[in-house]
Amino acid sequence: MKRLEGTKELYIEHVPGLSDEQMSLHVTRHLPRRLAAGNVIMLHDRPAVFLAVIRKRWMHVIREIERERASTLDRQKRLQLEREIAHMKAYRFSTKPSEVERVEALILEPYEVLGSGLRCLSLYVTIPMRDEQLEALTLHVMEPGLLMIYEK
Amino acid sequence: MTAISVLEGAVDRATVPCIICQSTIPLRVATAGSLHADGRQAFACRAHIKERSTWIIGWAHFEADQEELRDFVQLSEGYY
Repeated sequence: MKRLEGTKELYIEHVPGLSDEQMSLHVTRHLPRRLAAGNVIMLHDRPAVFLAVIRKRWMHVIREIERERASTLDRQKRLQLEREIAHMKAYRFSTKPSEVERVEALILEPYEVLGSGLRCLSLYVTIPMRDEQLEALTLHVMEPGLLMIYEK
Repeated sequence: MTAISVLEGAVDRATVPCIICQSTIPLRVATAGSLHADGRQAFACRAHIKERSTWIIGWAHFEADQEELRDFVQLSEGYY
C-alpha cells in the first residue's frame, strides 16, 4: 500500500493474484474494517451477481465471528465480538446509486461512479480498469481514504 | 511509469504501527482499516487478513477500545 502524494490523505493498495473466490473472501473480510470508518463503494461489472456473492460470504463471516464468540470465556472479548456481529448485521448494501443516503455500501458499475457526484471513504475496484480511470476514481474518495485495487 | 504509479510516488519509506501485532511496519506491507478515536487512520499488517481468528479478534478489540475512548471524550466534554 502507498500513500498518494500531495495534500490528500489517500492510500492505494494493490492486491494481486487472487482468484474470484479468494477476491470475494478478501473483500468480505476487509470490508467491515472500512465500513466502521465510513461508506464504501465497490466496482464490479455485474453488481447484482457480486452483491449475491458478498451477501453469502457476509453471512459466513458472521458465523465465523459467532463461533469465535462461542469459543471464548473471556467476557470482554465476548462483548467485543457481540458488538462486531451487531455492526455487521446492521450494514446495508445496494446496487442502486439512488440509495446512497440509505445504505453504507454500494456495488456499482464503473460508469455509474466516474463523473458522478458520488463520494465514499473506501473504493474497492474488483475489475480491471485503465490507469487514467483509476486516477479519475481518486476524486471520488474522501479522506482518510482507501482505493483498493484487485489485480488478476 | 504509469500515471497512477507517478501519483503514488516512486518511493514511500513511511512506517506505521500495526494495531494487531503492535509492530512498526513499512506502509507497503500495511492495509488501512478503521479509524482511531481521534480520526487518524489505523493500519494492520496485510498478512493478518489470512489469519481468520487473529484478524477478527484484533480489529474487534481495537474498535471496541476506540468506541470507549470516543464515549469517554464525549462524557468529559459534557462534564467540563
